[in-house]
Amino acid sequence: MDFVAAIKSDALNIKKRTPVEPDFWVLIFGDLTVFSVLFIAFMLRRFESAETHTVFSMGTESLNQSIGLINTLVLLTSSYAVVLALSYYRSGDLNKMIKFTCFAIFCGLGFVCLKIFEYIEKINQGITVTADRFFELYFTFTGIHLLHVLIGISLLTIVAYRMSLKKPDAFTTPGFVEGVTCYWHMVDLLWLILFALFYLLG
Amino acid sequence: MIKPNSKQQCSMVFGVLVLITLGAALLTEVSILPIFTNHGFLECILISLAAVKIVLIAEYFMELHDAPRWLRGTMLTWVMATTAVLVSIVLFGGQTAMTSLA
Amino acid sequence: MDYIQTPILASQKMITKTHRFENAEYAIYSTAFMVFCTVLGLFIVAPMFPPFGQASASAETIATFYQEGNLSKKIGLCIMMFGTPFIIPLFALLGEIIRRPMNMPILGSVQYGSGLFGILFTFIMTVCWGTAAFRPERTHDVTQALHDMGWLFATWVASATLLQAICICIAVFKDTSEVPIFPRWFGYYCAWMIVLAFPACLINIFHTGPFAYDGLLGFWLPYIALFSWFGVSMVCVWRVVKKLNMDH
Repeated sequence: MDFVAAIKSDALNIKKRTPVEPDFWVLIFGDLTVFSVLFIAFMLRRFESAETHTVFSMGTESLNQSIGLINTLVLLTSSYAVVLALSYYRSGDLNKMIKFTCFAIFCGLGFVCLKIFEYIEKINQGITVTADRFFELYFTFTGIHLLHVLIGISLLTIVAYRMSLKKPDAFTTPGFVEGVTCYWHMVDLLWLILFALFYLLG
Repeated sequence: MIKPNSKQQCSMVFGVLVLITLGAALLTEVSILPIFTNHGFLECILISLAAVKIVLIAEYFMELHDAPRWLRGTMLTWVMATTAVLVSIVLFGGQTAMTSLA
Repeated sequence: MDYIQTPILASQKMITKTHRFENAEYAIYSTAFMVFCTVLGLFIVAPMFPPFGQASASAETIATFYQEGNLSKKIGLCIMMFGTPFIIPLFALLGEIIRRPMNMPILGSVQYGSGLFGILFTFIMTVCWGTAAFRPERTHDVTQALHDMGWLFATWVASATLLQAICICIAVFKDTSEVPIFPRWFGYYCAWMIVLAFPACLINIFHTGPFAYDGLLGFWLPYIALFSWFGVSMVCVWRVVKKLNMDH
Protein backbone atom coordinates (compact mmCIF):
# COMPACT_ATOMS: atom_id res chain seq x y z
CA MET A 1 0.00 0.00 0.00
CA ASP A 2 2.82 2.36 0.98
CA PHE A 3 4.66 1.39 -2.13
CA VAL A 4 1.77 2.39 -4.39
CA ALA A 5 1.31 5.65 -2.49
CA ALA A 6 5.02 6.38 -2.87
CA ILE A 7 4.85 5.79 -6.61
CA LYS A 8 1.79 7.99 -6.89
CA SER A 9 3.33 10.86 -4.96
CA ASP A 10 6.51 10.43 -6.97
CA ALA A 11 4.57 10.63 -10.20
CA LEU A 12 2.95 13.82 -8.99
CA ASN A 13 6.27 15.33 -7.95
CA ILE A 14 8.07 14.73 -11.22
CA LYS A 15 7.54 17.83 -13.29
CA LYS A 16 7.09 16.98 -16.95
CA ARG A 17 9.32 19.22 -19.02
CA THR A 18 9.03 19.96 -22.72
CA PRO A 19 12.50 20.02 -24.30
CA VAL A 20 13.30 23.46 -25.82
CA GLU A 21 9.75 24.86 -26.07
CA PRO A 22 6.48 23.44 -27.37
CA ASP A 23 6.52 25.63 -30.50
CA PHE A 24 9.91 24.25 -31.57
CA TRP A 25 8.41 20.83 -32.30
CA VAL A 26 6.43 22.28 -35.20
CA LEU A 27 9.73 22.43 -37.10
CA ILE A 28 10.91 18.96 -36.01
CA PHE A 29 7.65 17.19 -36.80
CA GLY A 30 7.23 19.13 -40.04
CA ASP A 31 10.66 17.96 -41.17
CA LEU A 32 10.08 14.39 -39.97
CA THR A 33 6.79 14.23 -41.88
CA VAL A 34 8.44 15.40 -45.09
CA PHE A 35 11.18 12.79 -44.70
CA SER A 36 8.73 9.99 -43.96
CA VAL A 37 6.90 10.90 -47.19
CA LEU A 38 10.29 10.61 -48.95
CA PHE A 39 10.99 7.21 -47.37
CA ILE A 40 7.59 5.90 -48.39
CA ALA A 41 8.11 7.21 -51.96
CA PHE A 42 11.47 5.40 -52.05
CA MET A 43 9.94 2.10 -50.95
CA LEU A 44 7.00 2.40 -53.36
CA ARG A 45 9.38 2.97 -56.27
CA ARG A 46 11.57 0.10 -55.17
CA PHE A 47 8.70 -2.38 -55.16
CA GLU A 48 6.96 -1.00 -58.23
CA SER A 49 7.92 -3.99 -60.39
CA ALA A 50 10.51 -6.77 -60.54
CA GLU A 51 12.62 -4.61 -62.84
CA THR A 52 12.87 -1.66 -60.45
CA HIS A 53 13.58 -4.10 -57.64
CA THR A 54 16.65 -5.39 -59.50
CA VAL A 55 17.79 -1.84 -60.32
CA PHE A 56 17.57 -0.87 -56.64
CA SER A 57 19.32 -4.05 -55.47
CA MET A 58 22.16 -3.50 -57.95
CA GLY A 59 22.42 0.13 -56.83
CA THR A 60 22.75 -0.95 -53.20
CA GLU A 61 25.42 -3.51 -54.15
CA SER A 62 27.46 -0.85 -55.94
CA LEU A 63 27.50 1.54 -52.96
CA ASN A 64 30.48 1.55 -50.63
CA GLN A 65 29.00 -0.23 -47.57
CA SER A 66 31.95 0.46 -45.26
CA ILE A 67 31.82 4.21 -45.84
CA GLY A 68 28.11 4.13 -45.08
CA LEU A 69 28.71 2.23 -41.85
CA ILE A 70 31.55 4.57 -40.80
CA ASN A 71 29.34 7.57 -41.56
CA THR A 72 26.57 6.16 -39.34
CA LEU A 73 29.01 5.60 -36.47
CA VAL A 74 30.50 9.09 -36.95
CA LEU A 75 27.07 10.72 -36.74
CA LEU A 76 26.11 8.62 -33.69
CA THR A 77 29.35 9.65 -31.98
CA SER A 78 28.78 13.32 -32.71
CA SER A 79 25.21 13.02 -31.39
CA TYR A 80 26.62 11.51 -28.20
CA ALA A 81 29.21 14.31 -27.95
CA VAL A 82 26.41 16.86 -28.21
CA VAL A 83 24.53 15.10 -25.39
CA LEU A 84 27.64 15.33 -23.21
CA ALA A 85 28.16 18.97 -24.20
CA LEU A 86 24.58 19.78 -23.17
CA SER A 87 24.99 18.07 -19.81
CA TYR A 88 28.25 20.01 -19.17
CA TYR A 89 26.47 23.21 -20.19
CA ARG A 90 23.80 22.54 -17.60
CA SER A 91 26.29 21.76 -14.85
CA GLY A 92 28.15 24.99 -15.71
CA ASP A 93 31.40 23.42 -17.00
CA LEU A 94 31.65 25.64 -20.07
CA ASN A 95 35.20 24.72 -21.18
CA LYS A 96 34.30 21.03 -21.42
CA MET A 97 31.07 21.99 -23.16
CA ILE A 98 32.99 23.91 -25.86
CA LYS A 99 35.41 21.00 -26.23
CA PHE A 100 32.65 18.47 -26.82
CA THR A 101 30.78 20.79 -29.17
CA CYS A 102 33.98 21.19 -31.22
CA PHE A 103 34.34 17.39 -31.26
CA ALA A 104 30.76 17.12 -32.55
CA ILE A 105 31.51 19.72 -35.26
CA PHE A 106 34.64 17.76 -36.19
CA CYS A 107 32.59 14.56 -36.53
CA GLY A 108 30.02 16.41 -38.63
CA LEU A 109 32.75 17.71 -40.95
CA GLY A 110 34.10 14.15 -41.18
CA PHE A 111 30.65 13.00 -42.27
CA VAL A 112 30.53 15.73 -44.95
CA CYS A 113 34.03 14.82 -46.22
CA LEU A 114 33.21 11.11 -46.46
CA LYS A 115 29.94 11.90 -48.25
CA ILE A 116 31.69 14.14 -50.78
CA PHE A 117 34.36 11.46 -51.28
CA GLU A 118 31.57 8.97 -51.96
CA TYR A 119 29.88 11.31 -54.46
CA ILE A 120 33.17 11.92 -56.29
CA GLU A 121 33.86 8.18 -56.40
CA LYS A 122 30.46 7.59 -58.01
CA ILE A 123 30.81 10.50 -60.44
CA ASN A 124 34.25 9.22 -61.54
CA GLN A 125 32.63 5.88 -62.35
CA GLY A 126 30.28 7.77 -64.65
CA ILE A 127 27.29 7.46 -62.32
CA THR A 128 25.55 10.81 -61.92
CA VAL A 129 22.23 12.04 -60.70
CA THR A 130 20.38 10.94 -63.84
CA ALA A 131 22.05 7.52 -64.18
CA ASP A 132 19.09 5.37 -63.10
CA ARG A 133 16.12 5.43 -60.75
CA PHE A 134 18.16 4.33 -57.75
CA PHE A 135 20.91 6.92 -58.11
CA GLU A 136 18.41 9.67 -58.83
CA LEU A 137 16.95 9.08 -55.36
CA TYR A 138 20.34 8.34 -53.79
CA PHE A 139 21.90 11.64 -54.79
CA THR A 140 18.87 13.80 -54.06
CA PHE A 141 17.81 12.27 -50.72
CA THR A 142 21.33 12.15 -49.33
CA GLY A 143 21.84 15.66 -50.76
CA ILE A 144 18.85 17.00 -48.82
CA HIS A 145 20.18 15.25 -45.73
CA LEU A 146 23.63 16.74 -46.37
CA LEU A 147 22.01 20.18 -46.46
CA HIS A 148 20.53 19.46 -43.02
CA VAL A 149 23.97 18.37 -41.79
CA LEU A 150 25.54 21.62 -43.07
CA ILE A 151 22.84 23.72 -41.36
CA GLY A 152 23.43 21.75 -38.15
CA ILE A 153 27.22 22.24 -38.33
CA SER A 154 26.84 25.99 -38.79
CA LEU A 155 24.42 26.20 -35.83
CA LEU A 156 26.83 24.21 -33.62
CA THR A 157 29.68 26.48 -34.75
CA ILE A 158 27.67 29.56 -33.76
CA VAL A 159 27.01 28.05 -30.32
CA ALA A 160 30.67 27.08 -29.79
CA TYR A 161 31.94 30.48 -30.94
CA ARG A 162 29.51 32.51 -28.84
CA MET A 163 30.24 30.28 -25.85
CA SER A 164 33.97 30.88 -26.19
CA LEU A 165 33.36 34.66 -25.98
CA LYS A 166 32.08 34.06 -22.42
CA LYS A 167 29.43 36.74 -22.83
CA PRO A 168 25.79 35.79 -22.40
CA ASP A 169 23.74 36.59 -25.49
CA ALA A 170 20.83 35.21 -27.52
CA PHE A 171 22.91 32.29 -28.89
CA THR A 172 23.97 30.97 -25.49
CA THR A 173 20.55 30.76 -23.84
CA PRO A 174 19.41 27.29 -22.74
CA GLY A 175 16.58 27.48 -25.28
CA PHE A 176 18.87 28.02 -28.27
CA VAL A 177 21.48 25.46 -27.19
CA GLU A 178 18.82 22.83 -26.55
CA GLY A 179 17.14 23.61 -29.86
CA VAL A 180 20.41 23.14 -31.74
CA THR A 181 21.11 19.83 -30.00
CA CYS A 182 17.60 18.57 -30.73
CA TYR A 183 18.02 19.53 -34.38
CA TRP A 184 21.35 17.68 -34.50
CA HIS A 185 19.73 14.56 -33.03
CA MET A 186 17.03 14.79 -35.68
CA VAL A 187 19.68 14.89 -38.42
CA ASP A 188 21.27 11.79 -36.89
CA LEU A 189 17.91 10.03 -36.63
CA LEU A 190 17.06 10.67 -40.27
CA TRP A 191 20.42 9.32 -41.41
CA LEU A 192 19.71 6.05 -39.57
CA ILE A 193 16.69 5.38 -41.80
CA LEU A 194 18.49 6.60 -44.93
CA PHE A 195 21.37 4.23 -44.09
CA ALA A 196 18.99 1.30 -43.67
CA LEU A 197 17.13 2.09 -46.90
CA PHE A 198 20.06 2.84 -49.21
CA TYR A 199 22.91 0.70 -47.88
CA LEU A 200 21.41 -2.27 -46.06
CA LEU A 201 18.32 -3.38 -47.99
CA GLY A 202 19.84 -5.37 -50.80
CA MET B 1 16.85 24.73 -12.65
CA ILE B 2 17.00 22.02 -15.28
CA LYS B 3 18.29 18.76 -13.90
CA PRO B 4 21.45 17.60 -15.69
CA ASN B 5 21.22 14.82 -18.19
CA SER B 6 22.13 11.43 -16.72
CA LYS B 7 25.50 10.81 -18.40
CA GLN B 8 25.67 7.15 -17.45
CA GLN B 9 22.29 6.43 -19.00
CA CYS B 10 23.24 8.25 -22.22
CA SER B 11 26.53 6.35 -22.44
CA MET B 12 24.67 3.07 -22.17
CA VAL B 13 22.22 4.17 -24.85
CA PHE B 14 25.13 5.17 -27.10
CA GLY B 15 26.72 1.75 -26.61
CA VAL B 16 23.46 0.02 -27.48
CA LEU B 17 23.07 2.19 -30.59
CA VAL B 18 26.56 1.31 -31.85
CA LEU B 19 25.96 -2.39 -31.15
CA ILE B 20 22.64 -2.37 -33.03
CA THR B 21 24.25 -0.57 -35.99
CA LEU B 22 27.10 -3.08 -36.19
CA GLY B 23 24.64 -5.95 -35.72
CA ALA B 24 22.45 -4.69 -38.56
CA ALA B 25 25.49 -4.37 -40.83
CA LEU B 26 26.52 -7.95 -39.90
CA LEU B 27 23.01 -9.25 -40.60
CA THR B 28 23.29 -8.25 -44.25
CA GLU B 29 26.51 -10.29 -44.51
CA VAL B 30 25.07 -13.54 -43.13
CA SER B 31 21.99 -13.61 -45.35
CA ILE B 32 22.87 -17.18 -46.41
CA LEU B 33 21.12 -18.50 -43.29
CA PRO B 34 17.99 -20.50 -44.24
CA ILE B 35 15.66 -18.21 -42.26
CA PHE B 36 16.50 -15.28 -44.57
CA THR B 37 15.66 -17.08 -47.80
CA ASN B 38 12.07 -16.04 -47.18
CA HIS B 39 11.92 -12.82 -49.14
CA GLY B 40 11.31 -9.62 -47.22
CA PHE B 41 12.10 -11.02 -43.77
CA LEU B 42 15.56 -9.44 -43.59
CA GLU B 43 14.21 -6.10 -44.83
CA CYS B 44 11.57 -6.04 -42.10
CA ILE B 45 14.17 -6.77 -39.42
CA LEU B 46 16.48 -4.02 -40.70
CA ILE B 47 13.71 -1.43 -40.78
CA SER B 48 12.54 -2.43 -37.29
CA LEU B 49 16.12 -2.15 -35.97
CA ALA B 50 16.32 1.38 -37.41
CA ALA B 51 13.00 2.17 -35.70
CA VAL B 52 14.35 0.89 -32.37
CA LYS B 53 17.42 3.12 -32.74
CA ILE B 54 15.21 6.11 -33.53
CA VAL B 55 13.07 5.52 -30.44
CA LEU B 56 16.24 5.29 -28.31
CA ILE B 57 17.60 8.56 -29.72
CA ALA B 58 14.28 10.34 -29.32
CA GLU B 59 13.69 9.10 -25.78
CA TYR B 60 17.16 9.58 -24.30
CA PHE B 61 19.13 11.99 -26.52
CA MET B 62 16.23 14.31 -27.30
CA GLU B 63 15.05 13.89 -23.67
CA LEU B 64 11.53 12.89 -24.54
CA HIS B 65 11.43 10.34 -21.69
CA ASP B 66 10.40 13.06 -19.24
CA ALA B 67 8.46 15.13 -21.75
CA PRO B 68 4.69 15.65 -21.59
CA ARG B 69 2.54 12.86 -22.93
CA TRP B 70 1.39 14.64 -26.12
CA LEU B 71 4.97 15.17 -27.31
CA ARG B 72 6.10 11.63 -26.55
CA GLY B 73 2.94 10.29 -28.08
CA THR B 74 3.37 12.26 -31.30
CA MET B 75 6.98 11.11 -31.66
CA LEU B 76 6.12 7.46 -31.01
CA THR B 77 3.15 7.66 -33.37
CA TRP B 78 5.39 9.08 -36.09
CA VAL B 79 7.97 6.28 -35.64
CA MET B 80 5.31 3.55 -35.47
CA ALA B 81 3.34 4.85 -38.47
CA THR B 82 6.42 5.25 -40.70
CA THR B 83 7.76 1.82 -39.74
CA ALA B 84 4.37 0.18 -40.25
CA VAL B 85 3.95 1.70 -43.70
CA LEU B 86 7.50 0.78 -44.78
CA VAL B 87 7.19 -2.80 -43.50
CA SER B 88 3.80 -3.28 -45.13
CA ILE B 89 5.21 -2.02 -48.45
CA VAL B 90 8.01 -4.60 -48.11
CA LEU B 91 5.57 -7.41 -47.28
CA PHE B 92 2.88 -6.68 -49.86
CA GLY B 93 4.90 -4.87 -52.52
CA GLY B 94 7.61 -7.51 -52.36
CA GLN B 95 5.11 -10.24 -53.14
CA THR B 96 3.69 -8.45 -56.18
CA ALA B 97 7.21 -7.74 -57.46
CA MET B 98 8.10 -11.41 -57.10
CA THR B 99 4.94 -12.65 -58.77
CA SER B 100 5.48 -10.36 -61.74
CA LEU B 101 9.00 -11.76 -62.00
CA ALA B 102 7.73 -15.36 -62.05
CA MET C 1 9.76 78.26 -33.94
CA ASP C 2 8.82 76.45 -30.79
CA TYR C 3 5.22 77.21 -31.43
CA ILE C 4 5.33 75.46 -34.82
CA GLN C 5 7.47 72.51 -33.84
CA THR C 6 5.67 71.35 -30.73
CA PRO C 7 2.45 70.12 -32.31
CA ILE C 8 4.36 68.27 -35.04
CA LEU C 9 6.50 66.51 -32.45
CA ALA C 10 3.46 65.66 -30.41
CA SER C 11 1.71 64.14 -33.38
CA GLN C 12 4.85 62.18 -34.33
CA LYS C 13 5.02 60.82 -30.82
CA MET C 14 1.44 59.72 -31.09
CA ILE C 15 2.09 57.97 -34.39
CA THR C 16 5.11 56.07 -33.10
CA LYS C 17 3.42 55.08 -29.89
CA THR C 18 0.17 53.63 -31.14
CA HIS C 19 0.21 50.60 -33.40
CA ARG C 20 -3.40 50.39 -34.37
CA PHE C 21 -4.14 48.77 -37.70
CA GLU C 22 -7.50 50.11 -38.79
CA ASN C 23 -9.51 48.06 -41.29
CA ALA C 24 -6.86 45.36 -41.38
CA GLU C 25 -9.53 42.77 -42.10
CA TYR C 26 -9.57 43.91 -45.74
CA ALA C 27 -6.02 42.52 -46.14
CA ILE C 28 -7.32 39.15 -44.98
CA TYR C 29 -10.34 39.31 -47.30
CA SER C 30 -8.07 40.26 -50.18
CA THR C 31 -5.78 37.28 -49.53
CA ALA C 32 -8.82 35.03 -49.36
CA PHE C 33 -9.88 36.44 -52.72
CA MET C 34 -6.43 35.65 -54.16
CA VAL C 35 -6.61 32.05 -52.92
CA PHE C 36 -10.16 31.78 -54.30
CA CYS C 37 -9.02 33.05 -57.73
CA THR C 38 -6.08 30.64 -57.78
CA VAL C 39 -8.17 27.64 -56.86
CA LEU C 40 -10.97 28.58 -59.26
CA GLY C 41 -8.67 29.54 -62.13
CA LEU C 42 -5.85 27.02 -61.94
CA PHE C 43 -7.52 24.01 -60.36
CA ILE C 44 -11.10 24.08 -61.63
CA VAL C 45 -11.60 26.17 -64.80
CA ALA C 46 -8.19 25.59 -66.39
CA PRO C 47 -6.90 22.39 -64.82
CA MET C 48 -3.22 23.36 -64.99
CA PHE C 49 -2.72 22.03 -61.44
CA PRO C 50 -1.80 19.26 -60.70
CA PRO C 51 0.51 18.46 -63.65
CA PHE C 52 0.18 14.67 -63.90
CA GLY C 53 3.14 13.30 -65.85
CA GLN C 54 3.72 16.47 -67.89
CA ALA C 55 7.43 16.82 -67.16
CA SER C 56 8.21 13.65 -69.14
CA ALA C 57 5.40 13.99 -71.72
CA SER C 58 6.06 14.49 -75.44
CA ALA C 59 5.48 17.81 -77.21
CA GLU C 60 2.38 16.34 -78.89
CA THR C 61 0.81 15.48 -75.53
CA ILE C 62 1.38 19.01 -74.24
CA ALA C 63 -0.02 20.51 -77.46
CA THR C 64 -3.12 18.28 -77.18
CA PHE C 65 -3.44 19.35 -73.55
CA TYR C 66 -3.74 22.96 -74.71
CA GLN C 67 -6.01 22.16 -77.70
CA GLU C 68 -8.56 20.34 -75.55
CA GLY C 69 -10.74 22.83 -73.68
CA ASN C 70 -8.74 25.73 -75.06
CA LEU C 71 -11.29 28.40 -74.17
CA SER C 72 -11.69 27.23 -70.58
CA LYS C 73 -7.89 27.34 -70.17
CA LYS C 74 -7.84 30.92 -71.43
CA ILE C 75 -10.63 31.94 -69.05
CA GLY C 76 -9.03 30.15 -66.09
CA LEU C 77 -5.67 31.85 -66.70
CA CYS C 78 -7.48 35.19 -66.99
CA ILE C 79 -9.04 34.63 -63.54
CA MET C 80 -5.63 33.66 -62.15
CA MET C 81 -3.99 36.75 -63.68
CA PHE C 82 -6.67 38.96 -62.15
CA GLY C 83 -6.34 37.43 -58.68
CA THR C 84 -2.53 37.31 -58.38
CA PRO C 85 -1.79 40.80 -56.96
CA PHE C 86 -4.46 40.56 -54.26
CA ILE C 87 -1.92 39.01 -51.88
CA ILE C 88 0.00 42.31 -51.72
CA PRO C 89 -2.10 43.69 -48.79
CA LEU C 90 -1.12 40.69 -46.65
CA PHE C 91 2.59 41.22 -47.38
CA ALA C 92 2.22 44.94 -46.71
CA LEU C 93 0.48 44.27 -43.40
CA LEU C 94 3.11 41.71 -42.38
CA GLY C 95 5.85 44.18 -43.31
CA GLU C 96 4.16 46.96 -41.37
CA ILE C 97 3.79 44.76 -38.27
CA ILE C 98 7.49 43.86 -38.48
CA ARG C 99 8.40 47.51 -39.07
CA ARG C 100 6.36 49.29 -36.38
CA PRO C 101 5.43 47.22 -33.32
CA MET C 102 8.42 44.87 -33.67
CA ASN C 103 10.73 47.76 -34.64
CA MET C 104 12.74 45.99 -37.38
CA PRO C 105 12.29 48.29 -40.41
CA ILE C 106 14.85 46.70 -42.77
CA LEU C 107 13.50 43.18 -42.24
CA GLY C 108 9.99 44.46 -42.87
CA SER C 109 11.02 46.11 -46.14
CA VAL C 110 12.97 43.07 -47.35
CA GLN C 111 10.00 40.85 -46.52
CA TYR C 112 7.67 43.11 -48.51
CA GLY C 113 10.08 43.41 -51.44
CA SER C 114 10.68 39.69 -51.74
CA GLY C 115 6.93 39.15 -51.57
CA LEU C 116 6.48 41.48 -54.55
CA PHE C 117 9.32 39.68 -56.34
CA GLY C 118 7.49 36.38 -55.85
CA ILE C 119 4.26 37.79 -57.26
CA LEU C 120 6.19 38.75 -60.40
CA PHE C 121 7.18 35.09 -60.84
CA THR C 122 3.58 33.92 -60.47
CA PHE C 123 2.41 36.55 -62.92
CA ILE C 124 4.98 35.56 -65.57
CA MET C 125 3.96 31.93 -65.07
CA THR C 126 0.39 32.89 -66.01
CA VAL C 127 1.68 34.87 -69.01
CA CYS C 128 3.70 31.87 -70.29
CA TRP C 129 0.75 29.51 -70.08
CA GLY C 130 -1.53 32.17 -71.51
CA THR C 131 0.80 32.51 -74.51
CA ALA C 132 0.87 28.73 -74.91
CA ALA C 133 -2.94 28.66 -74.93
CA PHE C 134 -3.19 31.68 -77.26
CA ARG C 135 -2.34 29.81 -80.52
CA PRO C 136 -3.03 26.11 -79.87
CA GLU C 137 -2.45 25.22 -83.57
CA ARG C 138 1.22 26.31 -83.66
CA THR C 139 4.29 24.03 -83.68
CA HIS C 140 4.17 21.61 -80.79
CA ASP C 141 7.73 22.27 -79.62
CA VAL C 142 7.02 25.95 -78.98
CA THR C 143 3.93 25.14 -76.92
CA GLN C 144 5.96 22.66 -74.88
CA ALA C 145 8.74 25.19 -74.32
CA LEU C 146 6.25 27.80 -73.10
CA HIS C 147 4.59 25.24 -70.84
CA ASP C 148 7.93 24.19 -69.30
CA MET C 149 8.94 27.82 -68.89
CA GLY C 150 5.69 28.50 -67.03
CA TRP C 151 6.43 25.62 -64.67
CA LEU C 152 9.97 26.83 -64.03
CA PHE C 153 8.60 30.26 -63.14
CA ALA C 154 5.91 28.68 -60.97
CA THR C 155 8.28 26.56 -58.90
CA TRP C 156 11.30 28.84 -58.82
CA VAL C 157 9.14 31.29 -56.91
CA ALA C 158 10.91 29.38 -54.13
CA SER C 159 13.81 31.83 -54.47
CA ALA C 160 11.57 34.70 -53.36
CA THR C 161 9.65 32.63 -50.81
CA LEU C 162 12.95 31.57 -49.26
CA LEU C 163 14.10 35.12 -48.57
CA GLN C 164 10.66 36.14 -47.34
CA ALA C 165 10.44 33.18 -44.97
CA ILE C 166 13.97 33.88 -43.68
CA CYS C 167 12.97 37.50 -42.93
CA ILE C 168 9.83 36.52 -41.04
CA CYS C 169 11.78 33.81 -39.22
CA ILE C 170 14.48 36.24 -38.03
CA ALA C 171 11.87 38.82 -37.04
CA VAL C 172 9.91 36.30 -34.97
CA PHE C 173 12.98 34.91 -33.21
CA LYS C 174 14.57 38.32 -32.51
CA ASP C 175 11.41 39.48 -30.77
CA THR C 176 12.35 38.64 -27.17
CA SER C 177 9.79 40.82 -25.41
CA GLU C 178 7.63 39.46 -22.56
CA VAL C 179 4.58 39.03 -24.77
CA PRO C 180 5.93 38.37 -28.29
CA ILE C 181 3.98 39.92 -31.18
CA PHE C 182 3.96 36.74 -33.28
CA PRO C 183 3.64 33.29 -31.72
CA ARG C 184 6.99 31.50 -31.94
CA TRP C 185 5.59 28.49 -33.76
CA PHE C 186 4.97 30.82 -36.72
CA GLY C 187 8.75 31.32 -36.89
CA TYR C 188 9.38 27.59 -36.75
CA TYR C 189 6.75 27.04 -39.42
CA CYS C 190 8.60 29.51 -41.68
CA ALA C 191 11.88 27.69 -40.94
CA TRP C 192 10.21 24.46 -42.09
CA MET C 193 9.11 26.27 -45.28
CA ILE C 194 12.75 27.26 -45.90
CA VAL C 195 13.85 23.64 -45.65
CA LEU C 196 11.05 22.55 -47.99
CA ALA C 197 11.74 25.25 -50.58
CA PHE C 198 15.28 24.04 -51.33
CA PRO C 199 14.50 20.75 -53.16
CA ALA C 200 11.99 22.55 -55.40
CA CYS C 201 14.91 24.43 -56.96
CA LEU C 202 16.17 21.20 -58.56
CA ILE C 203 13.27 20.83 -61.00
CA ASN C 204 15.34 21.87 -64.02
CA ILE C 205 17.53 18.74 -63.71
CA PHE C 206 14.88 16.00 -63.72
CA HIS C 207 12.27 14.87 -66.21
CA THR C 208 11.00 11.98 -64.06
CA GLY C 209 10.91 11.07 -60.41
CA PRO C 210 10.07 13.04 -57.28
CA PHE C 211 12.13 16.10 -58.24
CA ALA C 212 10.52 16.71 -61.63
CA TYR C 213 7.96 19.52 -61.69
CA ASP C 214 5.14 17.00 -61.50
CA GLY C 215 6.77 14.99 -58.72
CA LEU C 216 6.48 14.76 -54.97
CA LEU C 217 9.20 17.27 -54.09
CA GLY C 218 8.85 19.39 -57.20
CA PHE C 219 5.11 19.91 -56.91
CA TRP C 220 3.15 18.33 -54.07
CA LEU C 221 5.14 19.20 -50.96
CA PRO C 222 6.11 22.79 -51.91
CA TYR C 223 2.60 23.69 -53.02
CA ILE C 224 0.95 22.11 -49.98
CA ALA C 225 3.42 24.08 -47.86
CA LEU C 226 2.77 27.30 -49.79
CA PHE C 227 -1.02 27.13 -49.65
CA SER C 228 -1.03 26.12 -45.99
CA TRP C 229 1.33 29.06 -45.38
CA PHE C 230 -1.27 31.42 -46.83
CA GLY C 231 -3.85 30.08 -44.39
CA VAL C 232 -1.52 30.05 -41.39
CA SER C 233 -0.18 33.55 -41.98
CA MET C 234 -3.70 34.89 -42.52
CA VAL C 235 -4.77 33.51 -39.14
CA CYS C 236 -1.58 34.72 -37.42
CA VAL C 237 -1.75 38.24 -38.84
CA TRP C 238 -5.43 38.48 -37.98
CA ARG C 239 -4.77 37.51 -34.36
CA VAL C 240 -1.82 39.92 -34.08
CA VAL C 241 -3.85 42.82 -35.43
CA LYS C 242 -6.72 42.04 -33.07
CA LYS C 243 -4.33 41.92 -30.11
CA LEU C 244 -2.63 45.19 -31.08
CA ASN C 245 -5.96 46.95 -31.54
CA MET C 246 -7.14 45.72 -28.13
CA ASP C 247 -3.99 46.97 -26.37
CA HIS C 248 -4.43 50.62 -27.39
